[in-house]
Amino acid sequence: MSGTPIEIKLFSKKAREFIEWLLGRYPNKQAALLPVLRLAEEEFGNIDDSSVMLVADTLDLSPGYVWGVLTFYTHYRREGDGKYLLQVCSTLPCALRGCDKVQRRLEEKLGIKAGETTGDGLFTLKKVECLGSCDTAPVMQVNEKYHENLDVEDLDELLETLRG
Amino acid sequence: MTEKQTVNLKINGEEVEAPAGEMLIKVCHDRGLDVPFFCYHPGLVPEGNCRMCLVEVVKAPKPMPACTTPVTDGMEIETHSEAAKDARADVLEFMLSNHPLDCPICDKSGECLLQDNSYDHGKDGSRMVDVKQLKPTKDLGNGVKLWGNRCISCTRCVRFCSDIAGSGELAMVNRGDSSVVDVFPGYPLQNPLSGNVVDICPVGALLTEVFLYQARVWYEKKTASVCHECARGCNIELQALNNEVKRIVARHNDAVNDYWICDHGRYTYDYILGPERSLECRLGDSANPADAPGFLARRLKKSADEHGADSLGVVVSAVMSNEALYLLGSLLQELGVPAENIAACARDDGDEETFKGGFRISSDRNPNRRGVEAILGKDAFSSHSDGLLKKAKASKLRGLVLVSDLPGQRLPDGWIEALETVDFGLVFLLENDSRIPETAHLLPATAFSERDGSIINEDGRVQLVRAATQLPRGVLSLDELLQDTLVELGARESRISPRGLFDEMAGVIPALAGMRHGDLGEAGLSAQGGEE
Ligand code: SF4
Ligand code: SF4
Ligand code: FES
Repeated sequence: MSGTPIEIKLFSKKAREFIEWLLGRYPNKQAALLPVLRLAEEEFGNIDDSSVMLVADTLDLSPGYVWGVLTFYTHYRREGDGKYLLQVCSTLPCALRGCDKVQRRLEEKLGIKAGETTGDGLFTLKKVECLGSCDTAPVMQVNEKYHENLDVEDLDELLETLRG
Repeated sequence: MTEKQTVNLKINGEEVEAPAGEMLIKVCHDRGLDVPFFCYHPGLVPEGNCRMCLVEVVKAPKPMPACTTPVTDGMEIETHSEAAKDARADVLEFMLSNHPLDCPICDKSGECLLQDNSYDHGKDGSRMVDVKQLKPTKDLGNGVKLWGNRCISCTRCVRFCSDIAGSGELAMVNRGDSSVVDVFPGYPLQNPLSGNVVDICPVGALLTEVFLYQARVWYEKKTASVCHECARGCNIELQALNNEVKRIVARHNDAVNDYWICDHGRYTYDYILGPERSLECRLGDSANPADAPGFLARRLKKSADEHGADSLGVVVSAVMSNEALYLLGSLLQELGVPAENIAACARDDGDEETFKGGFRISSDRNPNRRGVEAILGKDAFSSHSDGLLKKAKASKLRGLVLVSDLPGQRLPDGWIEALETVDFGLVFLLENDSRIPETAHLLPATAFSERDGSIINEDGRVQLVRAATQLPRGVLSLDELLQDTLVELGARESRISPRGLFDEMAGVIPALAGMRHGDLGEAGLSAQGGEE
């Protein structure tokens, strides 16, 4: 295959020990995929193609399989994602409570569409499936933090705070 | 399970007994009920993701997918109640909400489950007004192309790569209505069984480059036959248009290849009408193929009369049909040629490959080695060859007939050199061979798609090969020609049908004892007698 060869990555000793421990808690290697992906994200700051290869190797899975799981979930930080990952829930309860307005306002304010990153590398906007917080819809997750019962009017202030 | 356990249930009001644990869809299909499906495939692990197979289970709160619901005692099923039909029509409405409906330019058209199911089970309208999702069109590797917009996310192809091929290149990427099949960047489809994903994709999302826009499938002539690329003898369907093989697809046979074939078998047919194919007829002064039987009879007879039958030799191949081998054997017997004057050639071995799901490619690249052994004996490949070559070197060979029909492989030099030393040389030639001397006579060899007959795979299974294309007008296939030659010699009355020929041969060849052409059917029979 053509294309640039993928850089070869390795887990740190500490991470390898953690994986050892983790594997003891699962019936098979495949079952440990999600936490190992999370671990790769923590180790390397995000998950790029070389991390996919590393995780696939570590768990004896095909890169395709890891790729499918990784792309199914929106909550892993991917290569090129901005400093702040804005994940706007778009599933039914949030949709009924006006998440499309939230989404639209953010797109206007940031000048990007869902799935894109601002030129300054600060924000990545994602439209995601259920964040599991339907009782406080509409919800947006910013990195590890939930912003609940969102009001479109609050968004400007939130972005300003994040910009610092 | 030592005892066969069964359960009793009701399907559409009828009492049904079925094996415990069997999936509902299988029980329904076995009874001829039309329960539609997309993601279900009898050769794959069920996943139950498309919901096309929903049926009503009486007293259950909602319709259930027949492909992942095992039958249980006392179950009551309605496959065609209003509730069941409505549920399926709704599923189809959803399925079409992102489908491009580009049937007029889609190769799958005419053999597409989405077309068929929509026609039989769908609605005539849609309430969907949303903008359709757009997905990529791209190469996935190994000559397989993806039309992402057409993918219905059934994961048949994904399961094939992970569970049958074992290489797991394909994955469903993304989520919800943006999910689509893809490969990890830099890791394309590479497994030698990859073409099967095109066979099993229920829609036109996966297509092969070589067949792209080559034919509308309903115009093709479809012929059940057997792959000739290795000793497995996988069951295939040859699809031809205007007398040209356009495509080979897998044909189901539990005893041989399940639902699969390898890419080598799938894509190796170009040589049949390729630039190297030899169709030349060179019989002394005549270039008329109609003269062949008379010519052959006359010249062989003359050679035997003048120099003795022991001075005649024949080289057959492990690609020829049993029928041609048998007829050639009887022709030589008729002339009094000793059995050890018949030698056989085979294609070189390749690598044996075995896959996760059990599929195997044989290292023996010859479809009918077992046939040669059964009809002419094992020695044909070894001591007969050595003996015949020695005879040629000692100038004791005066007549030599070579069948050079190994696709992609020419005969060893020794045989060509032997042609130079004989008074009468004739080659049945498949592909051009510049080494053949001008003095040798030529006739076209028969390619495997051009003949009816039978072959025996490495497990001893006898299977029928059927003609899908025809040799040029006037050219006889090898077995027809040999029959006519025997007629010329007065040893046979007239040319008979492939059926008659097989039955006659089965009466003489011990390995085929008790077999009848009519019993071979589409699946063949094990030569040891009975099904494996
Ligand atoms: S490409 Fe075809 S087989 Fe694969 S998931 Fe899509 S529709 Fe199913
Ligand atoms: S495994 Fe052998 S017989 Fe089967 S398709 Fe491949 S080459 Fe043909
Ligand atoms: S065929 Fe049963 S869910 Fe797809």
